[in-house]
Parts: sequence; C-alpha cells; structure tokens
Amino acid sequence: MLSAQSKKIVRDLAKAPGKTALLVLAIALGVVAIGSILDAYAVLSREIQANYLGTMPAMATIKLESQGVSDELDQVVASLPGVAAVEKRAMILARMKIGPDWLPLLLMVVDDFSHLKLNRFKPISGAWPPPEGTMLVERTALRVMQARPGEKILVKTPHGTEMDMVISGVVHDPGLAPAWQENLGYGYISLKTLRLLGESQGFDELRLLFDNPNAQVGEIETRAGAVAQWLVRHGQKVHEVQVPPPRFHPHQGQMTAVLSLFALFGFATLILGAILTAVVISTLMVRQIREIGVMKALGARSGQIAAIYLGMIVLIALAAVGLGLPVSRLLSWLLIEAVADLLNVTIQNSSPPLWAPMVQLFSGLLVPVCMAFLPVRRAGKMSIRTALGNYGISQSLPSKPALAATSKVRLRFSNPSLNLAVRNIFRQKTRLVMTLLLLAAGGGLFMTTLNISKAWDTNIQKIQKVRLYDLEIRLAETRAVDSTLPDRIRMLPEVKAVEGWQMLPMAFDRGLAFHPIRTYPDKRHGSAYIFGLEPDSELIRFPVLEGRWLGPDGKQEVVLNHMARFQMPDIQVGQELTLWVEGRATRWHVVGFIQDLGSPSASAYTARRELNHALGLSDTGNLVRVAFHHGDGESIQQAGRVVEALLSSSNTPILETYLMTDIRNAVADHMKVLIRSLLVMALLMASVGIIGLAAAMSMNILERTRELGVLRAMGASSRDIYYLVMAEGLFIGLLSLVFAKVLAMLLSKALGSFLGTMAFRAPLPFTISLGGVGAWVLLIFFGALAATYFPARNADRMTTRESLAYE
Amino acid sequence: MKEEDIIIENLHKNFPAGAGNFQALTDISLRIPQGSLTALTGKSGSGKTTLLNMIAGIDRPTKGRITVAGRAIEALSEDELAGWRGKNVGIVFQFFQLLPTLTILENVVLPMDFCRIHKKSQRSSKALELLRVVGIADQAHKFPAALSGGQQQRAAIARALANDPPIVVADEPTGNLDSQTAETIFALFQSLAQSGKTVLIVTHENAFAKYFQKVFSISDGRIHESADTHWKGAICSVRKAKR
Repeated sequence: MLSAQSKKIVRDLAKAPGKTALLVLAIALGVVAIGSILDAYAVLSREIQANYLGTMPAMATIKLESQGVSDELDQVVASLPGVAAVEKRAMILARMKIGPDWLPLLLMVVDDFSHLKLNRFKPISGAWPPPEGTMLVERTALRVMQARPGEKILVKTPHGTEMDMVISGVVHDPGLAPAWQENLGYGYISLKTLRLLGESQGFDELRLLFDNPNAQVGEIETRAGAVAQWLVRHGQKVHEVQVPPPRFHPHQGQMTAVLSLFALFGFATLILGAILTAVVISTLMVRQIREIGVMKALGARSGQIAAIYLGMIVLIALAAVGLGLPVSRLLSWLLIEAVADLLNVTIQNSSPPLWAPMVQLFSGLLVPVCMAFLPVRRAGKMSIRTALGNYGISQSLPSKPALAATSKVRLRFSNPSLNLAVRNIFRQKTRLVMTLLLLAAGGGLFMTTLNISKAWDTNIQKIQKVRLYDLEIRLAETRAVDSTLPDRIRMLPEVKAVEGWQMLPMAFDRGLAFHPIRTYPDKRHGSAYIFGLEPDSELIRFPVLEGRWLGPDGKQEVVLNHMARFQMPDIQVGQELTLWVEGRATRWHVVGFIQDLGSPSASAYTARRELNHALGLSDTGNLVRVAFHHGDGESIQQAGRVVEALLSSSNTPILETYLMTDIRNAVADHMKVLIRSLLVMALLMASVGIIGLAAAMSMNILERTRELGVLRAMGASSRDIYYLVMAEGLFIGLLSLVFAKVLAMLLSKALGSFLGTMAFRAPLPFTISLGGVGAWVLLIFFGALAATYFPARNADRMTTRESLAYE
Repeated sequence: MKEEDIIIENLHKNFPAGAGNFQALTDISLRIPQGSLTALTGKSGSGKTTLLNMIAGIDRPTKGRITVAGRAIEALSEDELAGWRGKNVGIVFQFFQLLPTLTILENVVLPMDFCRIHKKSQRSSKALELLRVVGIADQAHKFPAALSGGQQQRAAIARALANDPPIVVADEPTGNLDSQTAETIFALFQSLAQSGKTVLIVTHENAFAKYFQKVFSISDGRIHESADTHWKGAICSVRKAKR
C-alpha cells in the first residue's frame, strides 16, 4: 500500500494535469532531442562504416594506358610485397538517353562478378552476373534513369554506337554517392558487353588493397607509387595513380556536418529542456510552499520534504522518458533513413547500441532531478513561518535590484495598466532571465536555421551568378574543339555566347615518383582538373579571393580555386607550381585564388593557349560552354538539345553534357535533408521557448492571485485582467526578440562558416532571412498570446473573494 | 516547576524590515504549566503568533531561551527541531491547512509517517481512532474540500494529536468558524488539557475565556496584564520586568 507521502505525490500530479503534462513535455523534449541524435549517431556511425568498409574499398587505383591488364599481370601484382588484394576493372563514361536528353552513365566493367574482391557491390534483384548485352544498375540510379528492371535504356559509349541495353538487375554499391545527387547513372557490365557497345579497350585499372588496413594516405601513396614504378619497370605505361581518402565515404563530410549539427541542436534542446524543466518545477513549487510549511510544522525533516518532491520529479521524469523513448526512436529512425538515403547506405541493424538509450535514460532522469534539486532544497530550507506566510510576491515589494532594473526601463506609458505590465515582468528577475534565455535560444536557433537555409540558397544562386553559361559539353577528344566548332554553335539562334575550353585531370606535385590524385573511383569526388580558357572569358565571373585573375596573355599563369587551396594549403600567390597533366610536369606561376562555388574539384585555370603549349597540343579543347538567350528551364533544355544535335550531326564525340540547372539541383539535393531537419529542430526550439513563456506566465499569475483580486476589487474588468496578463507576455516576448536576434546573428556566422566549409570549402555568406525574423515575430506574438491566455483565463475565473482569500 | 512546563526566559525577536529591525517581541519571560489550557491574546500584529511560533519551534528567537518539555529548543538544528516538533508539539492552524490531495485519514497518518511513531500497519487504525475522538470518523475517506470548516478543524486537531504530543498549540483555531462550531472546538481543547496535554491557543475570542486556566496578553511585543474585563480572573502572574 502506498504511504501518505506517495499518495500525495500522485494526487498532486493528478490535481494539476496541465502543469504535470507541461513538465512531462519539457523533460520529454530533451529526452527526444538527445535520444534521437544519440541513436542516429550511434547507428549511422556503425552502419556507414560497416557499409563502406564492407565494400572493401580499394586503397589505390592505378590506371594504365595499355589496352588491357592481363590475368598474369593481375596475379603478379597480387604477389608483390605488401599487396593484399588486386582486382582489374575498367570504367567508361558513357551516355544514356532519358526522355529527349542524354545524361552521363558511368559504366563499371567487371572481370568476374562471382569473385569481387574490391569495391564490392551486392545484388538486390534480377540477374547476377548480368547476361551479355545487359547491365546491372545501382539502386539509386533507377530514379535518374526513370526505368525499372527489365526495361531498356539507350546507351552510347564515347567510341561506340547507340545500343538498347536491358536493365537485367539491381545492385547496391555503398561506395558510391547516390546517383540522384550526382544526376547520372551507374551501370555494371561485363567486358563482353563493353565490346558489344563498340569499345575496344580492355581492363585498364588495377585496384589495390595493401596489407596495412589502417594505413594513412601518405603510406598508401608511397606504396601505390612503388607498385606503379614496378609496373613501369615491367613495360606498362602508368597513366594515373588515384588514392582517395582511406576508409572515408565520399559523402562522409556531409554526414559529419549533418551529425555535428544535430548533436549541437540536440545538446541545445537538452539544455533548453533542462531550463524549461527548472522553470516548470519552480511553478510547481510555488504552489507547494505552504504545504511544505504545514508538513514541516507536522514534523517533516528537510530530507523528507526533499524526498517527496524529488520523488515527484522522478515520477514525472519516468513518464517523460517513457514518452520520449519511443518518440525518439521513431525520430531517430526517420533521421537514420534520411541520412542513409543521402549516403546510399543500407541499414542492416537499426537498433542503437545499449549505451545510447542508457545515456538517454540517465539524462532524462538525472537532468530533471538536478534541475529540481535547487528549488526543492530552497523550498525545503524555507522556514515554516516564511512558508506558511507565503502569498507569492503580492505581499512583498520587489527587491532593490529588481526595482533598479525596472527604473532603468525608460518605457513609460500613459496607460497605467501598461506601466504595471512592464514593471511586473521585472519583479522576478531570475525567472525573467530564464524565460528570456528560453525564448532567446528558441528564437535564435529558429532564425539561425532560416538564415542558414537562405545563405545556402544564396550560395546556390551564386553558383549560377559566377557561371554565366547554361550548358557544358565535355567531348571525348582533347582536339575535338577546333577553331570552327564554337563558330558553328554560335550560328544557332538560341546561342548567346560560346567558348571552347580545354579540361584535363591534373595532379599536384607531391615530390613522389608518381603523382597520385585524391579521386574516388567515380572520378568526381576528390578530383582535380586544369582548365585552359581565354583569359577574358565572358562566361565566368569568379570572385578573386587573393591576387588577381589571369592577365590578357596569361603567360604561364595559373589561378587556383578555393578547393585547390583547401587540398594544398601551402601554395601562395607568386609561387611557382608544378602540375602533372597527361603524364607531363607543367610549370606555372600562381597569380591568384578564386572562389569557385559548386565545384566538386580542385581546379586550376590557365590560358588555353598556354596549357596546350605546355602539353604540346595545338590550340584546341575538349569542353564547350554555351550561354543561351532564354533563361528559363524548358528553353535551356530545348536549346541544349539543339546544340547536341549539331554536335552529333558533325560526329563530334560527346562524353557528357551538363545543364547548369542540373548542377545547381545536385548541389541543393546534397543538403536538402540537412536543411529540412534543421527546420524541424528550429520548430522544436521555438516550441520549447513558447512553452517556457507559458510556464513562467502561469507562475507569475499564480503568485499574484491576491494582487489580481485587489485589482478586481478596485474595479478591474475581465478585459483589464486579460489585457494586463497578455501585455506582460507580449513584453517578455518582445524583449526576447533583441536577444534572439543577436544570438541568431552570432550563430548564423559560426554555423554558416562550419557548414559552408564542410560542404563548399568556403563559409556560407552571412545572410539574414527577413522571412525568418517575421516568422519569429509572429510566432512570439501569437505564442505569447496563447501562452498567457490560459493563465489569464484562470485568473479571471476566480471571483474577487476567492482571489483575495487565495492561499 | 515541572520539567514538562514551557519556560521562556528573556526572549527577544527582531525581524529585518525596510526601515531597519522591527522588534516583534521584547524581553518575554513566562512559564506555562503542563496540562494547562492557556490563551495568548492581543491585537493584530502584537506578537502573539510570533511567540506561539517560538514555542512550537516554527521560528527561532533572536535572543533568549525557550525550554519546552525539558529541552532547550533554540539550540536545535532545523532537522532536530522538525523531529522534536513532530513528537512533542501538535499544531492547529487558523485555516486548517489540511493537505488538499490527501484524505482526512491520510492527513492524520502523515505526521506518523514523518516521525515513524507507530508501526506502519497500525497507523491507519490509530488515525481512525483519533478521528473518532474528534467526532468525524465517518468522514475519514473524504478529501478536505468535501468537509465543512468545523469538520476540517476537527480533522486538523486529530492530525495535531497524531503523534500523541504533550503540547498542542493552535493559532486562531476558531477564527474561521461560526460561534457554535467554535464552542465545540474549545470544548475539545479543554478535554485535551484535562487529559494532561499542555494546550496553548492564540485567540481573539474573549467569549471563550471560561475555558482558559491561564491567559497571557501581549501588546507591542511585551507581555502584560489584559485590561479587558472579559479576561479578568483568567490573567495569571506575569513576570514582565527583567530579572
């Protein structure tokens, strides 16, 4: 049977269901926030690692210029010291026709589907291995291909002919970024199928795994260089050595950004939840002070009083944890699914490790008890005389500091009720500070989120503003863009401007015999390119970060983008730089750095003539960039098709085409989940702030019940009471706006820098979302009205006699 | 002088106030014999409740000594005082101060729980017995809000007796009751005094002077003989001057 104390706990909670629910909600918010983040973090860290490492990612890829890697060579390299596994592969950048457009299709040519050793992928459905003339498709590519297994896709390789290929199966390759983000297709074919597509090349890649599973990039580069040297000594021509960041998923940076941000918000919500808990517990204690006095008068010791109220808090915390655990599991599951989709990983086991819910349980119970400890202790220590004589604050004058604070507020209204409302909010300084803290933090984070979201959009718009072209066509030959091609394109009525560029993979000189590049097998993430263009190009307007843009003749000059600076932070303006291009060392003078937003690659910009000269090429190119007269999406797509048709009619081999709108969408897609999740977090923060205001207002009213009774006795109407209470809430809300705004500015700057650096390698521009400010003002306005309505109604419902006799 | 008497010597009590210290009690010395029914009278703000609070261990003197049931209570810590109070003093308040979320029976059991006076299994039956004594056993399982003022005050008296304390103090116990109910409450206090308990009551109600064996009158923080004719005969010897 329950003791009288236990019964008191239960019934006190039941007697004030609103306050109990508020307290449960306040604690549950923290539990949900920290729980969902912890669960997601624990599960994603484990599963991403397991997915990516499960593919046995090659530590290095050596690309040969020979026509094919023989079985013998494969085996001999596998027997070299330190080499743990070797697999020969080839990769072709083909094109696929989706509707009226040709999109890039990355074809992975696999030697033996039954014995994949490196960069493994798993069959999901359909054939395995793919029958001759068919291809397997990575699961995330189906969306881009707008096709289902069994359907045909028209495919064309650079040197082959168009061919209908059946999608014979679907695979999952966790080592690749999702195809929908990159706006391309991923196909897996056999060498025989490649032949059917009209390509004569064989396996030209040796993918390598070394025997030190924890090797760092430097060690891998040295070892890969040694293998490359061995290959050269044995008559092979090494074209390129690729060493991607070891054990690091191509989108690991994104995941780190997402999870770090969530962790930050989770922590902030936990803190806010804790403050809210403290505010609500104080509300609860206000009501209990006289009862504490009575119990002490009956012989209860401070410890017994504390036990009753801490027991009450533990009961509430248990209810909150009980509510928060399943909600946080649901949220974490949604978060895990979203991030898994973002990173193309399959969650094998969505159960978090035991420590995650344990930490959640611990924080859900410990934080409220810690927060309750001081108010409970204070109430327990209160003398019986003070406790029994407690009539809230109505009997006592505000403290001297509170009066001083009030006097500092120069606001003076002709309406005495407004003066009363303004002065009332300064009567309980600690509570005011806590409420302001809650509202400012909620509002600050809310506005920060919208600022970041806007800054992200601004950056995406910048990508278009600095790139004044609409279409980019990469051609299969370095000499494909002769002097006549741009003129032919320019003749088209849709075309406003056209330029022919040279674009080639490059490697920085790292003082090794070979010059590894940090590219992933998809050849996109971590890639580095050198561009040759007319220095007075009209199609780009990159902001210069340091130094200057290329001079009119650009003699041996190079300008590097911010991604290159990130990869090679020691390079300075004025320095001589060696870049390895097409197996040749080319020497350049660094004249400046530019911000090249949206570029996934480290890029070097040179005069085309200079680049071709350095490589012994005539003044030609392999890249066409075109600007059209019409700027809307449909017209650009249509114009792009016209240009493509022109190139096809002249048998110019197209490697891939990009519309700028596609690039912008791909960049936007990379962080869509993050921005959406941030908005959810922002709303959570906002609700914590508003609940905090409601709790504080409820406590203010409760304490001043007698005072309100006096006002009513003096003739105040219900309207006056509502007006007074709501005006107080609104003043607090308005006051919090100032702090929220300052916090939002500071946080936006810091977060923008963190996220921008993570995603673009450049801070996001400092942007203020006026919509965000407006939304928060409205939220505060209506939130404050809603938060004060119920306390005001309760105060109004009391008769004057009840209010005056209120204990 | 019996050891169970309440003895107050040179008691002073000051309260900090905006304009400096407010002297609530000045040099009070008195003795209340065990088993007496004693009244403390005086105007509002005279210091009678303050004195009662000192005797009940609810408040502490600024200076002076209070010996209750053979123990100098001003030296006790808060927790010692709570334990001592639970066992030695039963308190009855003007506004009853029953805990609203406990039934009448549970309100009476609560002090037993705090002081662990009886075995857990016996507490309810003891509480019921006390409710029977004050005449509201049939209301035991109701919540306070369901009872009349008089019934609530009887319940409060039962609660004050829960741990069978030698002393019962009451602050304006009938201030909120009609005269008929007040009469029965005073009769109840009289029977308690007759059973050997020391009962000290702060009251304005001179109509019930007949019940008191001793009356102390306080004004401006000092104890002196009451000029009120209604209290004549009940005024006992007061040692007002400093020794």
